[in-house]
Amino acid sequence: MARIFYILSCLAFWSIPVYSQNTNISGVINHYVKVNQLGGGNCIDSLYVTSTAGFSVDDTVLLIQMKGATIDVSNTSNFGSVLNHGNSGNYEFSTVKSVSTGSLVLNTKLLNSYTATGSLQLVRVPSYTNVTVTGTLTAAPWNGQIGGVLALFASRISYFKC
Amino acid sequence: MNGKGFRGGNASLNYYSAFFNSYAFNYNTGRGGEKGESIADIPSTLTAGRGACANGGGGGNDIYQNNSEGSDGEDGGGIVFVSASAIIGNGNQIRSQGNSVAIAAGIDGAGGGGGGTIILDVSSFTGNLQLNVNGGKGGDQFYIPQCHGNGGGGGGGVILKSGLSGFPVNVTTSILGGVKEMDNAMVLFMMRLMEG
Repeated sequence: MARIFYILSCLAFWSIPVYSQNTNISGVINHYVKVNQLGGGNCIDSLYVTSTAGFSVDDTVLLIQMKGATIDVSNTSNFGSVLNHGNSGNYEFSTVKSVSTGSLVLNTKLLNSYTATGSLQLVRVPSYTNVTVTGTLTAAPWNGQIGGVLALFASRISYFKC
Repeated sequence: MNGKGFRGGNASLNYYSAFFNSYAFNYNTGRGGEKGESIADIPSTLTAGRGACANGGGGGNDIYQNNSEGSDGEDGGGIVFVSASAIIGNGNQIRSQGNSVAIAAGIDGAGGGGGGTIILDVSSFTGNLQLNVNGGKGGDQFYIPQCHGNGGGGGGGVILKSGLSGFPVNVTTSILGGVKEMDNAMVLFMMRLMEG
């Protein structure tokens, strides 16, 4: 079956350059860390995180705020109505410029606004050229602080026919 | 990515015979189910009750909503970002569905998880690919007196694609809300069938 798949792939993509490297992926491919604080000043490019383990210079990263909305807290049928979305759902991609103990500096200043108390997490995003998904690709489950996000960059993604 | 997102609320810690009706109160009182997680953090004094919080589900109130008779709400789907020049689908799926509550979970059904999010920045799609962000099925209830309720289905999620064009015909999407689940009579009928 692998050979058939390979032949089909080649037939389908005969006109584009052949990539020299293929990576097989499955399971959890991202790495997550809680962001505790943003750097100061008008040009924010640094993040203070629980641990920099697993992050390296030139890594692609996703900064994403999972929560931060404010709601009506009255004991009425209006309870839970969103009064302000705050910075919940804001996200952006960047790359890592430098890593030091407990903090990272990005190559770009932040484009969006974030609130570190609103469940802000940094996700390392792998970049591939030619990648084949050989089993279920998933994320670490959201645990209240980190997880719940699957992100990847690739030139070409092939799903292996199971 | 099914069920990797915001977490469903837990069933009530206890139950009392007196009817209790409130939108928001402390889960530790044992008077109702915990609300589902959402984009808004809830004060610890308001974690239970039937008021739904932002995009999370409500918890349901006391009157036989306890661990043995109620069930936990289910987890929502996660978030998927894919940036690629090409995807060869090969008949597979990208799924970020809400989890469904197991059938016959209890006298009071809990809510299914909401569907997740899929964001694609992809130039070309080859072969069939299905994108699925359906909400999960709510829990059943099969107690004959009609004081109890089925759990609500989770809402459908969202699929976003970069660029102005839609998906090609070989990429199909499914963004359905979860079903509320069958009524009592149907479940009883099925149970009798299973009992022979």
